[in-house]
Amino acid sequence: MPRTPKVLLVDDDVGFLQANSLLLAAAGYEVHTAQDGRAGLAAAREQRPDVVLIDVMMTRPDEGFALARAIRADDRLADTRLLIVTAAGERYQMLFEPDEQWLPVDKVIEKPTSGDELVAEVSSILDTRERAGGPP
Amino acid sequence: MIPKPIPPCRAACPVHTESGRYARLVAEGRYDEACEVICRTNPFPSVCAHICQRPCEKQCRRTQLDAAVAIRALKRFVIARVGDRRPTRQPAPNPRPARVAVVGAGPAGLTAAYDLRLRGHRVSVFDRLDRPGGMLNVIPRYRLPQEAMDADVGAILDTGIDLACNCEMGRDATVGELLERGFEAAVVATGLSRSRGIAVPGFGAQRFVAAIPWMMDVWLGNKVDVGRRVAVIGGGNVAADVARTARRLGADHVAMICLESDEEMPAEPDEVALAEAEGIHVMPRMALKRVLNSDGHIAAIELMDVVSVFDADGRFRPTYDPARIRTLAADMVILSIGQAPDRSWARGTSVHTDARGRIVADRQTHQTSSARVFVAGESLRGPGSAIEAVADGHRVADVVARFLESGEVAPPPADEAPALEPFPDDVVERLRVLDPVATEAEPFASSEPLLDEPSARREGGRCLGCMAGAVIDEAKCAACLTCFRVCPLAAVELGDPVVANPARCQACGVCASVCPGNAITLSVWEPREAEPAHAEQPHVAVVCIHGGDADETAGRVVRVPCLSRLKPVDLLRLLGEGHRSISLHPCARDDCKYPAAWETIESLAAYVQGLAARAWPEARIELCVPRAQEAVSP
Repeated sequence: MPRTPKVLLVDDDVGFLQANSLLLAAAGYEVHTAQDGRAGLAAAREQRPDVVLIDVMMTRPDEGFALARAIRADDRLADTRLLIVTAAGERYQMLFEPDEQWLPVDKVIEKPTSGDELVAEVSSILDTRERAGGPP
Repeated sequence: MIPKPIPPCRAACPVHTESGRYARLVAEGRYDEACEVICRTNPFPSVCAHICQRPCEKQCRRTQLDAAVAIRALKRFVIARVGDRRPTRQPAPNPRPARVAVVGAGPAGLTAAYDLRLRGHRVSVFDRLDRPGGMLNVIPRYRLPQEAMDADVGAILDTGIDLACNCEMGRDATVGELLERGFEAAVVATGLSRSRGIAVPGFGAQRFVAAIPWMMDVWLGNKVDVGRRVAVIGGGNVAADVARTARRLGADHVAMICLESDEEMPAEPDEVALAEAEGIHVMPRMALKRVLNSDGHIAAIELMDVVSVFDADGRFRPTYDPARIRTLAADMVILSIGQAPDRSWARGTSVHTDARGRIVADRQTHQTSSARVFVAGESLRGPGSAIEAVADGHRVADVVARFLESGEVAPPPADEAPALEPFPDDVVERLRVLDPVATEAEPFASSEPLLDEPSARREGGRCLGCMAGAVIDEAKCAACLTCFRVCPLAAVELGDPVVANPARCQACGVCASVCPGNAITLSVWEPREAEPAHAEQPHVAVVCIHGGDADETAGRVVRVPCLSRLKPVDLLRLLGEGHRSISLHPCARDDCKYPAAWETIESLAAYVQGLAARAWPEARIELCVPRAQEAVSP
């Protein structure tokens, strides 16, 4: 029997964490949460999640970007998929897309986004990983 | 069959403006007709007269000789000169007009709206801004005056197009709702309205802003913030505009930092030169490494050297040398590293997006996965110029019109006509001998003032008339080879039939005037569209196309390449047609290409006057001295 995929949510918005934890758990994922970048990196190293959903503007305005780079730089987390979920695009009127140098993530999702959309994104990114031959 | 080549200027223009034709019409003082040629394919003539990136001039064959004809400057002269008299077009009657929604009031959207309206459809345009123009609104007014934009947009809307401003699709309404409310098709041309961000360390401090919203605020008159030391990140035309704008708003020091080398920079070289002339410090081959903040405010930026920008396959894949660091004091960073489409309009529609969230649409037919929704302009093609957006507006309108009329979706006809090839080397040498002025530099190369009338006519006359040259009528040609002997450019090629090679011919007209079989025509001899009735126009002016000047209102005007090449029978024919007064207007004696021309014309006038006295005693043949020559004559 395949193991339950793990999702780590990193966001300083407690309401966002609670609501989406419930939805992701209901969809069959094992969910962990953290409220800032430092706690997020520790949780990622400890839990080895399949997917990390990262907010950007937390204690510092660029905290989520730094967390994404730190996870990507950790060889033990090379298989972990990273999704940025942010309102920074709207706040700064900029469009963020994955790039090798500064934003080595799989996808950027703009807030506001519904819980159902997030569950669908997590499911979709795990599907593509399985098709690519990664761990379950 | 290989299509006939077209002049390179025309081939290079995304809407295939007949630049050569209007240049020659300017040379002849026929400004309204020049304006008609300009407006025929371009509903944004005033805008392009200021900000077109001039692909036509880059391909002008005159560059082989000295420098390109200043085509954009000529356009600007014509538009200013014609003013409110620019031609207007009316919608064609349509027995089954459809309602079409156009989302986005920029060059692509308004061109599509205009074309569909001219085909008799009922068109409504929606835009999120409080005014039309789209991304033209972020072009600094010192480059694109408001009046120029207003003139073009006004003429387009005056055809009967509805405009709804402050209406953002995906927020105030959805494209799906429009289709449900009775619009039979929707064209989305929302452009690249979002600036790309960069997730560098230190992101998010005060005055860390994106170029497009900042420029929009500046040029729409909203409150804006500007630092004293501004770092503009980017090397494109928008970055150059941002840098120059920051300088105008009072920044003491403005740096333009770009990954590319001087040669690789995507900005037009003259835009960069203007920026540097205004004190902008251009820093090529540098990349932003991080922003150093103090209490949430920018204190400085760290830059690192760029090793390369493109990989071996030419793809954008920059590499850096993080060890080579430079710190630059700055209190503001404006990101201008590229733009992306705003796809929020697709909310509430069945339009598909790909894994990266991009709208899926056929690049040939513009159609999305929603059969009645079409995409055009930069949102489909990526970054481009205003005139490229106009061209795409024409294409999508063509597709949508056929879809509305027949239900079929098919790509618009392809542009197949090749550009006329460059001059062979010997033609360049021959042209230099014929026209010594051609060795001097073109006077408007580095700056572009509004031309006055004499300089505009002179500049228009620099056009070499590619593809406007001699055409030999096989049926009339007796193969006498007179044309072969007289052609100064060795353009006549012997064979069966005898032909004039358009790559060599420059429409001087010598062959046409000496051909005994009257077998040669030149397309540069354009007949007036509305030829006046001869009986009501007793006067006819015969004018040299190289610089002759006649009162346009006094009667019929016939233009010929050189009056000395006329034969008596040509003038007698005009009398035979009913004219009783002929004025001859050669070019000024000092400007004439043919040294003996004036003597020939004087004797021609006297000879025909004598002949005419027998048949038409009242006929008068008058030789008119050009004003310029009169002024210097004793």
